[in-house]
Amino acid sequence: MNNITPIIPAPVLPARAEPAALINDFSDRLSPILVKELRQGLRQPTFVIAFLCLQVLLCIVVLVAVISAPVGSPSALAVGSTVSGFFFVLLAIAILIVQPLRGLGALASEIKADTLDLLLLTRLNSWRITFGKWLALVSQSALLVVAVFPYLILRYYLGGMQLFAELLALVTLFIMSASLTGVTVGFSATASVVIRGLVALAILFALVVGPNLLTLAVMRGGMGGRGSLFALTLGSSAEVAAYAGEMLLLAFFGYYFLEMGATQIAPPSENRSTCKRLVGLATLGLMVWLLPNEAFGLYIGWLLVTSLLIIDALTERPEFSASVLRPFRRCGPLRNLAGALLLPGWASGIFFVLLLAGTGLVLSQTQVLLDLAHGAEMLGFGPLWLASLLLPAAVVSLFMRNAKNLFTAYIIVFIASLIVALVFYIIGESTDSVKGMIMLVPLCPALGVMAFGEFKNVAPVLPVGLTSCGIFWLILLLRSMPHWARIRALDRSLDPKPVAAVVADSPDAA
Amino acid sequence: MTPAIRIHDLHRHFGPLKAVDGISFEIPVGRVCGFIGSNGAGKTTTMRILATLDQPSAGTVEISGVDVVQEPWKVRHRLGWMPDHFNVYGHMSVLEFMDFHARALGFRGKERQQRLQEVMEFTDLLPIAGRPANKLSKGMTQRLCLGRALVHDPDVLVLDEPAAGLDPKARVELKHLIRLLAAEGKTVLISSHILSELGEMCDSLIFINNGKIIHDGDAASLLRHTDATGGIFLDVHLASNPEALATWCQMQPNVELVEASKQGGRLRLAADDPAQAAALLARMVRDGLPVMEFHREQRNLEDAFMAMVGRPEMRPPPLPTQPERMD
Repeated sequence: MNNITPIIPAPVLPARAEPAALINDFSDRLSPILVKELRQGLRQPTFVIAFLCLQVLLCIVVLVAVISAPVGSPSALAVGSTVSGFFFVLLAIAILIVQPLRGLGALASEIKADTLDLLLLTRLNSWRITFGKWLALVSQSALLVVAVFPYLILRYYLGGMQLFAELLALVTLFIMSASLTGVTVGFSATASVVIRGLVALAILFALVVGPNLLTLAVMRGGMGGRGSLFALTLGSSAEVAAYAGEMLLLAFFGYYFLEMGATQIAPPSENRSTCKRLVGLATLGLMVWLLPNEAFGLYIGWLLVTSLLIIDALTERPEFSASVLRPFRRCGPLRNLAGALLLPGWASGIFFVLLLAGTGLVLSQTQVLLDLAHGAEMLGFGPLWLASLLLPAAVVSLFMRNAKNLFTAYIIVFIASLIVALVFYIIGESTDSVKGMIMLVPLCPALGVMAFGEFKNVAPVLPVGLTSCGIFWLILLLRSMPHWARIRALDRSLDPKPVAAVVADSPDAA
Repeated sequence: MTPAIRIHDLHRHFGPLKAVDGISFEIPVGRVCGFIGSNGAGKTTTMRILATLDQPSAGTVEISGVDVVQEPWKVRHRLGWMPDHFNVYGHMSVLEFMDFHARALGFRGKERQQRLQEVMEFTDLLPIAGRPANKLSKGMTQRLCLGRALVHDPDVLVLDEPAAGLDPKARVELKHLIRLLAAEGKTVLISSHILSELGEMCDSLIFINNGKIIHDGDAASLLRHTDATGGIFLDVHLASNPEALATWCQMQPNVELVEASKQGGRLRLAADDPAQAAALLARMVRDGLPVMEFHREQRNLEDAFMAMVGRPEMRPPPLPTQPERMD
């Protein structure tokens, strides 16, 4: 480019005004997308208003507290406790509601503005784009958290502060915020406004009524109650393990939804599936390692993680380019097995589901779950739950296979199956014939999940669940055959050409 | 020598629709090639496959010998892509936009500053460096888009409708920039609807219609080919009643009204024979048409293109019907 004459002579600029030289080199150390998003995000009215409101409200709370109960006065302890409650409520609104909800527009704005193509032609892949957007939002949340510290110091002088517990609660809130932001950024790649709206409602609902949400626990503790803050003291190794397990789950969900978003925007030449499936398996392993004595927690955690992995594996687009197959060809004798489990797309997803079901079976046979109060009953629940997850995928593969977004189609069918099951369950309850409805379970496995309490003493519940799983899985297997044929053709296209063919293809030969 | 762009038997199907149906061509290094076709002909689909943004249903596509399907990352380093619809981030200035893309393309520190300076100088973006990127004129936006495509100094440029919506001055500037790039040894594939400009700018032209290539060669060979098969174009002006020309043409063998105008219209005579044109004029005068002007037009690329893809049938304007008399 140095040798070209510019079309119009470049204007003579003062030495300091050379524009490119004005750019600060510090940001070179950061991801380009993070720099861009931070520049944009810090100027957005939503962030500025949230930040200012938080500061003003906290300032008022502290001033009122100090005036009404001067430091050292008998009422200072009670007031200090109330101030803590206000701190966490206001902070929770900012970082658990406002910031995550902003994530719902992260990738959607790029998709709407049609700017993703240009981004994907740079060195940024879909993961770096998604992660950068998440990191920018989390950095802004961190800024909100850090800005609270001066008020916490003031509150400390009022007395009665449980320093470790409240700091731990702050860290926990931040991790929850990061995880929720991951969920919303991931969902922001979904074109369906309805799905994104449902996610927003689900977050609000979970934050309002979720009984295990630490925010509310801390709020109650801060407002004069007792116990909730003490729950965060991590006094025993079991508590530490339980806390670590919860944080692991939060981290996994945040990560996985980000990966789901990245998968949605990834070009066919990019493989995100293998990594996220391996991380899913690693998370299951870590949970077993962290929670050997927490059978119920382990069971619930396993259900949550595998449910997400199964839904995602069964709703991935089956299109990818030949370049994705290249690393699998280096796996030697394990090439076919690795491909069947870890290639992108729901065709391999059905085999991955088998692997996950296998981990559940192994787990159910370990001492951990057998020791559970109702361990045997829980074993019957697994196949019913799996069948209720396989049914929507089978329906989509049969009747909606050209749907633009398989995940949205799956969720619609899944919700419909839940509604149908609920109607049957209500009819069964009102006519006292729930047990008699066991024959409907193969058609509507969600009914089996809802009425498991009634069915658990019915002997055929396990075979019914397994039969349902088998039927739906076979439907998926049959529907995946064309995809496997295409994958084999792609694989053959990577085979080195015989010398004669190469010569025939070359222009010189012509 | 490996061609800069090589496409062999490329197919792209969207369900039953064959957007690209078995096209093959090669563009040698350092050439500027025009890619011409009507809307929906398959230009943008082909260009998106070249830019690794779409996957072929079948066939091979190579940029400087690198397969776009098997090694898309390598291709992206060698290719600059300018889309037909270009959107910018509203919160960024021109400099910030260029800076962001330079960072995203892996430029750091001094190297980035130097590269930005060169590209912005070349595309004349320096005077507008501080302007918001979404408040630029169409011509400036296209220059910004071209600048972005040049940041990583690609060997091959794929420009999809870069001249669309530009005023004459901006078109001249763009044409100049493209010639400069070609002089630097870059290979340019450019699609446009302004065929006359492509003829001046391009070393070769590829015409695509319904997903198939109907011509691959230079402008002169195209005009020669269509002159031999396309007949003569005549510009006819009448002193009055120009509608009569359309009615008259319908009754004449081997004559077609290509385009009606206020004063008459453009006719196409099937045979390239001046004697027949003279006879046609004589018939017009004999039939009482008030001919004021009658001259032969030089063929241009647009006529050649239309001759190849087939003109939409021109129908004479409906004659005014006589109102029924109410007795």
